[in-house]
Amino acid sequence: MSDKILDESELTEEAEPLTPDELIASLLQDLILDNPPADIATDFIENFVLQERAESPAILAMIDAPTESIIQLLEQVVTANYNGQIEALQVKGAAFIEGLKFEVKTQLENLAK
Amino acid sequence: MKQTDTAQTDTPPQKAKKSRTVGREIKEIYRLNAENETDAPEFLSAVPIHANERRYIKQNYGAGLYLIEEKQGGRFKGRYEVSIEDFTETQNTTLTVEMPTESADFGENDFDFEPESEQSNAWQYQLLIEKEKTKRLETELRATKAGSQNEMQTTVSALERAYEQNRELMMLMLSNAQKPQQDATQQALNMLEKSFGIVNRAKAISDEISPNETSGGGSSLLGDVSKLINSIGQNAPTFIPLLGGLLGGGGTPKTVRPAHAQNATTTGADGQGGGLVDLANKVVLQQKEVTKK
Repeated sequence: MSDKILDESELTEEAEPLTPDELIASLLQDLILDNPPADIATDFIENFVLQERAESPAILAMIDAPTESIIQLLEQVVTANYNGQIEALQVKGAAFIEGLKFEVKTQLENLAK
Repeated sequence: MKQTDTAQTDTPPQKAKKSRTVGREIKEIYRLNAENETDAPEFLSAVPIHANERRYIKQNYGAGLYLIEEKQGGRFKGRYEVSIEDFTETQNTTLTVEMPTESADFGENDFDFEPESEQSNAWQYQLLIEKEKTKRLETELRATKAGSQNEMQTTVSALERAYEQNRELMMLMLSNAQKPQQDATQQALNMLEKSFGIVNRAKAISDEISPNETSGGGSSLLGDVSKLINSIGQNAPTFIPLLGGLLGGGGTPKTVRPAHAQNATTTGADGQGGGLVDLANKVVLQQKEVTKK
C-alpha cells in the first residue's frame, strides 16, 4: 500500500475556526492522553492567544469557568462520542482542569510582566 | 473501549506537538477484523485530528488494522486503511498519519468495481459501515429516551451531523459510481435516508407535520423522540450555546448546550470578570509593542 504523508503545512493552510464541539473534544482528548496541562497551556497561548485567533476568547472563557461547569460539558461529549471514557473524566477531570487553569493563568501572567 | 498493553508500543515522544495549529479534521476510526472480512467493521470513535493519534489509538484500541475516514468541514476528504505500524513520527516529534495514495477499494474517486458484480467487498464494506453507524446511533437514541431534555438535544444534534455527513458521502459516491453500481449506490442511499429518517421524522413532527407517517422500523422509538422534541418546543428551551455566545458573533455554533451550562460564566474562578481574557489581551498588546520596537 503506497502512502502519502498528511503534511502539517497543508493542513495549516486550510485551518478553519474551531467549533465548540471540537474545542471540547480536543480538551477531552488531552485529558484522556494525560497530556501535561503545562504543555497544553503553552501550545494554546502560542498558537491561539498570540495568533489572535477568533476562538481564543471563547477558549479562555471556558478555561476560566467553574470547574464543575467544564466537567459537565465534557461529560456530554463523553456520552455522545466517547462511550466508556466517562470514568477517566470522573477520576481525573477536576485535577486536569484545575491544572490547566493554573498553567494558562501563570503563563499569561509571566508573559504580561 | 479497551485499554491496551502499552508494553508493546514504542516509546512515546518526549513532547508531542499538539494539532490545534492545523486544520480541524474529524476522523472516524473503525477497527477492521482482519480474520473475517465479512464482519462489520467496529466503529470506535469520531475524533478531531490530533498529532497524538498514534498514541491515542494505541492506548485505547491497541495494535491492529484500522479504517480511518477523514472529513474536513463536513466534506469527505479521504478514507484509508492502515495498521498502527503505519503511523510514523517525524524528526520534530510531530506525529503524522500516512495516507495511502492508492487504495482501489477505499479511494475517494476510485470506485473501480467489477461491472458485473454489485457485491464487491469494498461496497459491502461501506454498507456495513453505514449499518453499524445506524445501529450505534439508534442504540444511543434509545438509551437517552428516558433521559433529560438536555441529553436528547445533544443526541439529536449528533444524529443530524452524522446524517448530513453520511448523506453527503453517499451522494458523492453516487455521482462517481459506474452505471451498474448506481442502482446499488442508490439503494444504499435510500437505506441511509431510511436509517436517519428517525431524525427527519422527529423534526417533521416538531413542525406539526402528521405523525402518522412512519418509515418502518423504529416507530416506537420515533414516538419517544417526537414526544421529547415536542416537549422541547413547547417549553421554549433556553438552551444557550455557551461558547458560541462567547464568540460574540464571530463564529456560528453548530450545537447547543444545555441550560445548566449557563452556570459557566466569564467571571473567572476568582470572581474577577473575564480575568483570563483581559490578561490575554494585555499580553497580545505587549507583544505588538515589542514587535513595533
